[in-house]
Amino acid sequence: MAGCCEGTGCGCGWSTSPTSTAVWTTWTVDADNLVWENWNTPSVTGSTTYNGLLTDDTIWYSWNENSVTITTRVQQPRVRVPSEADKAEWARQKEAHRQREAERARAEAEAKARAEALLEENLTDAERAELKRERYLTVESRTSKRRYRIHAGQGCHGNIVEVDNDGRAVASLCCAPRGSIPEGDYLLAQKLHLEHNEEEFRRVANITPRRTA
Amino acid sequence: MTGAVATERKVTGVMCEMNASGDTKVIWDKDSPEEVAAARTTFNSLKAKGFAAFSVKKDGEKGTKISEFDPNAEKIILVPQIAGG
Repeated sequence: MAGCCEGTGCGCGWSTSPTSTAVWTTWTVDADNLVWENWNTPSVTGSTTYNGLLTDDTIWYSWNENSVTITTRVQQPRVRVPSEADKAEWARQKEAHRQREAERARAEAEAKARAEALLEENLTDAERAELKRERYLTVESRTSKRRYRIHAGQGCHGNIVEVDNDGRAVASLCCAPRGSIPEGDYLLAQKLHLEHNEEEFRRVANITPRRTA
Repeated sequence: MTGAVATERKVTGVMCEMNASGDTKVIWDKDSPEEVAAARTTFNSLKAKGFAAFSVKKDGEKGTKISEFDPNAEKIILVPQIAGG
């Protein structure tokens, strides 16, 4: 830096009269005390010249003589435009999913039909008629002679009701085969157990009394 | 296996295993030791998994709970292990 003005006309004490090539280091103080950012029109010689007054936000980006235009980089939004290959892959995946769902529905319907056929094979005519009419089966234990109603269309849990001779509910039983088997299968399973394996069935079942004695 | 293989074949027993697909049937000829052995093996395997076995008449007449494979049974129904809800 060249000299010091001792405060004349400025607030910091630095002069504005560079006389060397180190002109860019000349600082002036303007009324706003923008020492760093305020560049004067050059009045110096040397390899470096300046074009005009550069204020705060331009100082960094403004170059004299061989001025460089600084372009602002605009941040593009991150939007991925799907390509034709992407669209084709999505269509393929959608079709594969549709086929899997169709196959699953077909297998489920087939299992349901097989189970219903097995149940029908193992019912008497009277039992078939009752199931169709009342949507339940009445079964009797071979040992205790207790009677139960096995309800269809209610799922396999809590669908069994022990009834007295007058058909009034005595207790609810919740017991079914493990695993996911179709309705026809679990109805038949519950019937066979209550008829031929009642003691063990009642031991395993969750029994809830329906009325006081 | 389902259905008869040959017209001269004498189908005497059928075993139905309840499962997610409805049921799987195993058929055996009581005069064929190989088929009886295969059916017995299947029966014992399912019993070991907790299945309950019921022997019933083919016309749906009431049957009985069994613990051993009966090659002379008309129909055996194998039910998965039960559980309380």
